[in-house]
Amino acid sequence: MKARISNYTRPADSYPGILGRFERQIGVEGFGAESQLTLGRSTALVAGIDGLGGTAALYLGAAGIGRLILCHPGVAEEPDLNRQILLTADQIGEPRVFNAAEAISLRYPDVEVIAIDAGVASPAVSRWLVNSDVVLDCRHNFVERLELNRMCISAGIPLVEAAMDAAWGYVTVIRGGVTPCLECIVGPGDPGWDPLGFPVIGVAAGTIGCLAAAEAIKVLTNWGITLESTMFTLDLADMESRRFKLSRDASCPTCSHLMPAGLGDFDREGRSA
Amino acid sequence: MSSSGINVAQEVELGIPSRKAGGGCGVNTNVGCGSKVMPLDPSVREKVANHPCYSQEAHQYYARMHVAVAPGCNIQCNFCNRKFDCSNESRPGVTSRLLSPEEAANKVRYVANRVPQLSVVGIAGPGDPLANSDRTFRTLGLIAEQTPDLRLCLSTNGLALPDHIDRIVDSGVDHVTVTINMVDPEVGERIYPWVYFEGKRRSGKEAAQILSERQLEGLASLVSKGILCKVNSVMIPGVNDEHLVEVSRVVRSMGVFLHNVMPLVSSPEHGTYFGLNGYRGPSPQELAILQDRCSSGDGQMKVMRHCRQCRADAVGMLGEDRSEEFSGDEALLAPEAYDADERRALHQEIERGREELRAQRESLRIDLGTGYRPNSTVLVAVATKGSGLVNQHFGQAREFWIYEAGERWARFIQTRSVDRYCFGPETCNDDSSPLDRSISLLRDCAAVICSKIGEEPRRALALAGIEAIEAYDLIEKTVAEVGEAIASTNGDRAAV
Repeated sequence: MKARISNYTRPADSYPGILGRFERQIGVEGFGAESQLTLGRSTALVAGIDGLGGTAALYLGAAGIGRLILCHPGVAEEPDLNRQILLTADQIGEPRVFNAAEAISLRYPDVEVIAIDAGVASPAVSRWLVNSDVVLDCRHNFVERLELNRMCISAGIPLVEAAMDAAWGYVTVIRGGVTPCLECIVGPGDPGWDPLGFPVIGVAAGTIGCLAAAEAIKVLTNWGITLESTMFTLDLADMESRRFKLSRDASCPTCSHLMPAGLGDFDREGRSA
Repeated sequence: MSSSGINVAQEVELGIPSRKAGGGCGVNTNVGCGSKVMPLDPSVREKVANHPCYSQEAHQYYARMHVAVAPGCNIQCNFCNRKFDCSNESRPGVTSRLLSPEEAANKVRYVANRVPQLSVVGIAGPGDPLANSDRTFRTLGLIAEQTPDLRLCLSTNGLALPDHIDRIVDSGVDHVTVTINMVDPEVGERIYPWVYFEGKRRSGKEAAQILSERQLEGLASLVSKGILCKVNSVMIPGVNDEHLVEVSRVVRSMGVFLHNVMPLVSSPEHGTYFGLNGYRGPSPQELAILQDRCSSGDGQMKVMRHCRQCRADAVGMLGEDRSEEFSGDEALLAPEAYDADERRALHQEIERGREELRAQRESLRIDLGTGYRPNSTVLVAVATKGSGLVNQHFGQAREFWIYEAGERWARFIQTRSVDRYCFGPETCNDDSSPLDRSISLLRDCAAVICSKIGEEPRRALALAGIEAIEAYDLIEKTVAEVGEAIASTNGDRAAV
């Protein structure tokens, strides 16, 4: 597996000149120019640019993030188009991730976009991961999700964990040693999970993608309250939503060693429950 | 392998050097000084004679293979990230696919029929063989039954070792490698986030303490059963580099045959804890200094210097990775008959050649690092495909063998790979050319000896102060001659 990388570089020092573009969000209470400049200095790695990840990446670009790292292997296929809104119908058969990067770059030329045509296991992904301020997990299988989770815990990088199935989805925010990690939540995952076998209402993927982008913006700017140690679920079929606390697993192979001895559960401030 | 008829024997492989500071040797230069080569026990000699990992000389003639049947691991190491389905990384823990014991035995037979140099089959992961003991011992049983002339090897972290001594002995394994990176839990807790022992995940000093106790207990049992033991240690600068001299001393006192100090392979690309957190591997020079310290002074250990840190599914000679060539389904399924005759004939030919060369080398009286070191030595690099000869073009060399050279002196120091820290095109299409990389790799060498070199690289090397020398001859003979010539010139210069 060889990763291809394309770099869509933003014009140097363009950012302060375009603050005006963001005047509507700078005006949001508690956000301000400081948060906007922080976003402009930040790097987000979006693993997977399907309906969920593509939407998240697009909104991070719109919000004025400084640099996006996108990774996703393979070429676009016809059934992708119900949700992969960065792609156009004439791009079937072309590498998804480069076209997705191009689409973001066209809209927001001030964002530096790096596109990696490979999955999470690619050496290029871990190289960029250590230079990221937040990672968004938008892959479609447990093996890659757990690998990304492990690397984020090791490198101390916050992870926005978002997933969907049919019309239902979830979002939570993971910080190693503080919140439960993905492995605490799902264990080894579902070995029988078919990455291409689950149905998708495109709008559900997009909705969860927007929620993931919102969490990433909050993680980066410290504005608002994130979903750390909290699982938020939403079913678009009946608009039922839930929020519940998550607990750390005292024997988690990925993060239990980061836990003070004898303590199992933590609240979102990292205090034992 | 018609060229196998020529080689210089390496006596250092044949005995445990007993070293004392000799006359005329400074504290820092006592490697190889005043030492005697004690004759090896004939049974040990027989065991290492054709094992590429236990003998630097043997690794020029014989091949090994690893079968990746052990996916799970009972400890986590901060330098390890097990990866499956990966063809462009070559380091421990990486494999293209996982094999069942039956597939593994089929693959061994398939490879054995096509690689007559094969002498050893090992199980080294991608996890810990003894954390997958049923799969491991079933595999060993099948291989012993179907390809009985191959040696069996095992590499383990040692946590489960004391529970499996009898099965290891019964399965016919005659070499075991235990990876020991510390004997002090204070050091260990920085290397191991957890161990899984007696149904519980343990972390911190407790984890390192348990691991260390189990490793040493297991080693002692193996040695008492007459199994030849090697200890692998990963040199992690700033974590255990100083401490490994103590590790070497401890394992030597327990009767371990060989200590393999390997460099940490670490960059973010590997996705390991150390890699993601900016821990660096040692330079080749730092590694060689530590290996010298382990093999001299208090440590006095026999040290392996030719390790290439191979994959969990490696096939071929050390330093050549043919794992991809044998990764297809046909290697796993073909229930073909086993033919040991070609290998037996080749091995006999190899041994005849080695014997001839042993005699030839003795007549040349070149010291391979066991006697008194001459006053003046330099480092030289050799381009070789093995078989004891300088026989490779400079531009084709993917690695160089580094020797300490002087009058009648050729001490093997290490191998250096041009590609070692480059994994796949996305990480290595930076601006440095292969020639630039080779030159920076050899910048501490006075000369590079190869069978042929072009004018451009010759000039570039000369600019870096490295002399290019063409030869097609015995490695040690050429090394000693070049070393003597350069060292004497240096001496003249010093006199002026």
